[in-house]
Amino acid sequence: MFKFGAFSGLTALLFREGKIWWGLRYLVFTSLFTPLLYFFLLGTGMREMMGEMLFDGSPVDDYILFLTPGIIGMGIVSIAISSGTTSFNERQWGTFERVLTLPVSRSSYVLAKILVAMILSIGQLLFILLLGIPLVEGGLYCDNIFLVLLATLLGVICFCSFITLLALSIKSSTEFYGLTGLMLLPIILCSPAFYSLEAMPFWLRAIAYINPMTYMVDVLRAGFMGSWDQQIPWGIEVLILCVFTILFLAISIISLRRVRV
Amino acid sequence: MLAIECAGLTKHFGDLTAVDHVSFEVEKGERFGLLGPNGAGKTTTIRMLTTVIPPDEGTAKVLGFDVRRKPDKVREKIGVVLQGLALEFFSTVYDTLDIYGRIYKMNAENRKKRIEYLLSEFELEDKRNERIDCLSGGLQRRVQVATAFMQPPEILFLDEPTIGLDPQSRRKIWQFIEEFSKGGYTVILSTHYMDEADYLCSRIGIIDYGKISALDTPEGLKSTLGGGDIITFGVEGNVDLLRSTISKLDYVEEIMAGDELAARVENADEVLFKLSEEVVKAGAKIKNISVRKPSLEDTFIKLTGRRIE
Repeated sequence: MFKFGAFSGLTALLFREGKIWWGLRYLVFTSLFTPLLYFFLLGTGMREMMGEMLFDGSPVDDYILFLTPGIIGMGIVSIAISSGTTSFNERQWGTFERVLTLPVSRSSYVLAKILVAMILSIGQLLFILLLGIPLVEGGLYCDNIFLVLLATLLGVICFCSFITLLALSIKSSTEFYGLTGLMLLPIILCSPAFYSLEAMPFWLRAIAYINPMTYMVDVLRAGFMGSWDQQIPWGIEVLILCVFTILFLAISIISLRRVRV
Repeated sequence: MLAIECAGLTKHFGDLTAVDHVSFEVEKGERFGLLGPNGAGKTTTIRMLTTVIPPDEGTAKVLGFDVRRKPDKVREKIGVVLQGLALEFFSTVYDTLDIYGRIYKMNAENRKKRIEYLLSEFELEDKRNERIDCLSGGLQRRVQVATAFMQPPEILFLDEPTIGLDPQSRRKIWQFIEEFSKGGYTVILSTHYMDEADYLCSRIGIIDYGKISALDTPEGLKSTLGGGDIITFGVEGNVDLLRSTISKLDYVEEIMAGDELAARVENADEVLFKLSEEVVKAGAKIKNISVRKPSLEDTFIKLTGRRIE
């Protein structure tokens, strides 16, 4: 007999998710490769021009070092969008409805999506660290890997939940693809991913403070650079990121229970 | 024992009442059909019974488990073939079946055996490593039906399982449903194909505008017309006027609804010539005549006043 719990059928759904992503390997490749291209091309191209960047008032002399957490954050958002796209496709194709008739819990469905996105995000993080070896003298230094992993984990849950929420709420494919395409740039550019918060005009900084990407990138940056005397301490930023994450996760699980197929 | 018990099952979508106080029971081992046109409420009824959406009113029990209170218990015991293809399009046929085996917690050996059996039964052996999106519509549908059998369900729900299929794939699926039900399993089928309902179902509920208007065996439904023969004329002339003229003849039991001029009589052999003369006398030119026994479609038209397109 089956034992139903909050996460029943999780391993089977993880296997299924793995197969879905394998089938979409070209999309995965694009999700992983685009941020790497940004890292390599934008990083090396802008390195000389950008000079010294500020991170919480402290100077960062190498733009590549400054850019790395931003690129990791961008990669997480791209992977979350791809993950949300699989949920949207499943709704369109009817496979989501089929899952609802199977002996698996709805929470497992969301968790399987998040776990696979997490594996991909960690894979991308490793790629970036490897790519940093030839770009930065002595390789990319990571002061606190646990903080980097914590920011990655929260960022994946936060953005996957948010995009899943969109995938469950929007019915038209043009609306879904249009909206996710439109959102990607503001999420990235209204955050300290490519430039420091201090350099932003007031209005942009105000938007950045309500963007979870800001807190994810800041915590990643604190993890890489070991800045312990930030204007907003990283502990507070982790808390704010947690609030965004719990909020989006809770809303997406509630929506999943109420979704009309 | 009852497989399905529905009482006053109702579902609203905004102002639309998709299913309106539907009540029926299905015995274990029965092949029960919901027959009706598109938008009649068949899919919504099946979605409620398979726990995809909750009913707004009324109760539904599947093998004694309430769909609202014990949806997990219901899902353990059912197999579902949805109207849409609902397949992992980027997976291979083998992997798709493997995923369902894992969901039903089958061990590797049983899974492998079952997959081989289903590939052979559904004539998909040579397609095992092909991606679903590379298969024809008929083969995709076969894979979809096969997934519902990865673990033989106690009740199999099929929502328009043969829609848009070629006759060969259709026949194959019918054959498998028949074989499956011989094992004492229950089948709940929704369809808008009269011949499918007639051939596969031991009882049929005719559903239209969210309500069940009749529920009986196929023969029982056909006999509600009163037996006899139906004579249909292909004519040039005013059909409405002809209808009114021949309806007055004492040997015409009933004028059939629909676009054609058709009348039910007790015995076509005895009245065919007389009736043809009356039609000609009324000013029509007869192009063709056909005689047949009342069908499920005639019952459907009589009950709902329209034909299934």
